[in-house]
Amino acid sequence: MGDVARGWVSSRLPAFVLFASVLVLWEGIVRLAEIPAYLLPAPGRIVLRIFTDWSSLSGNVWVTVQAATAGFLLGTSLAVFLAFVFLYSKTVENAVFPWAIIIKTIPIIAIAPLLTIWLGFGIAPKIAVAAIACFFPTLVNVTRGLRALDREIVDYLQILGSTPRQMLVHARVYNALPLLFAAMKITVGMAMIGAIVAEFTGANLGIGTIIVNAGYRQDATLLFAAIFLSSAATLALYYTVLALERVALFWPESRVDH
Amino acid sequence: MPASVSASPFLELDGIFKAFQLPDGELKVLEDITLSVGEREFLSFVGHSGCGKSTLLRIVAGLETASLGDVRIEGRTRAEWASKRPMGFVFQSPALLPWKTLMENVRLPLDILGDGASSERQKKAEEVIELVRLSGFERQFPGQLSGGMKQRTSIARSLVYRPELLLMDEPFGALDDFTRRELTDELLRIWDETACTVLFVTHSLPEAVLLSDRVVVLDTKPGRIREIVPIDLPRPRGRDMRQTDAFLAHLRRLEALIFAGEDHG
Repeated sequence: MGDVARGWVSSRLPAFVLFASVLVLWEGIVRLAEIPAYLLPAPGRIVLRIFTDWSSLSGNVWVTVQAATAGFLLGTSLAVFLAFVFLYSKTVENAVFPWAIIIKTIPIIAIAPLLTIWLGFGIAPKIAVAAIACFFPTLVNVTRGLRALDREIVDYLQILGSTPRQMLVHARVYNALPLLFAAMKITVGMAMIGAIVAEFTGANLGIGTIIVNAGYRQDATLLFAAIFLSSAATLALYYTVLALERVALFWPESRVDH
Repeated sequence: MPASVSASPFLELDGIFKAFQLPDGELKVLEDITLSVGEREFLSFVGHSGCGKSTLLRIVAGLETASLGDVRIEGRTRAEWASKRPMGFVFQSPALLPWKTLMENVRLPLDILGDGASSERQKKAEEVIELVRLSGFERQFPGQLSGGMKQRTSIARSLVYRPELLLMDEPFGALDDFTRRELTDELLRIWDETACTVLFVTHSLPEAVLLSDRVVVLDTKPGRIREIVPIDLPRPRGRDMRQTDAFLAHLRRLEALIFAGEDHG
């Protein structure tokens, strides 16, 4: 085992120990206090349920993950595109930015049923809600990143007679990258929440439908199983973004760490 | 050298005034700066903080506009002259692009200007990296370099397109004393090997004496030329010169000029 690996293990160890302790404590309390499973199921029971219902649970989580990912990509792309437009036209920014704020203030839960009415019970409304959920933070961060170059770097490029396009490709894009990733690390989770919320208000498939049905039936064990799996899926998405960040932010001092 | 000044001025500052508009009135920064600089001359500006020496440099670079007055280079307007070949500018902070390696930073001006083929740019960049003694560090990012190395890189990228005019705004101001002296000596050597006119802003009088052909002493608030002191030390100069009587005499003269203003200032 190399030093790097050993360092990784020792830095993660406290988190693993705490996580395991909480599970053991939870299991112990539920058993000793004889708490009924319809109130609070023990972790062992939840894990067992995940295994018995695996094909239904995993299939539905996968549907939600697909919608969340598509929405995340759509919302992020739109935000990045708009940030570039803002860079070239202050007028467009002044006209559009208030709308972005209005969209941000609308509760996701309130537009989800509306989008279901408009877009049907398939994947489309989920993608739309997920996209809306991750649009605003990315727009704000990337706009700032493209603009807020170091004054001396701007001065320097200006003395060289750089064109706006050269300033963009040599400096502004890189300056915006750390802020883009900082936003994406937050919004990837919001996309997942958005997709699940959209499934609450009417969908045939997805972990959100499982949650709603389990709620009706007061099946706490299934609810926990769904929560566990969607958390795991969100975590997987988060670490995908993190891995991309490792590649994209190749220079030192570039990472706005979590 | 002072002798070349009278021949044909390379750079002329003609009645430069600069004032900033503030909410509670006008802040006069520069007043009637008139000055000729010879080709290949090394000219320093010294004075207290707020004497407008950095502003003056920024006006020559075109980063600020003068409220009144003209900057002419080789008989042309500043903008016209700079459109042919940009001037070099070294800031107090290295202002390197953190996402580009040392090599990419030094090459960048050539890439932006579209100078020559790619292999030729690479070669020019290698030469100037060698000149500032940074060979072997080409693939490092600025975040991996020391303060002195970053400032060397900053000098290298300003020389790579062979500017005829190099502006340096307290280039060593943020460095520790040892590094500062080392780089001053290096600059002396580098300047001998390149043929350019230098306008140099500094707070360090020994630095000004060692490097300059003439030192412009500025008054504060507003910045006005108090005196222009010729430094007639022989060239090539080196660090050993710092202890000579002639060097120290110049230093004392400048100190007297700078601190004379304090009493009635």
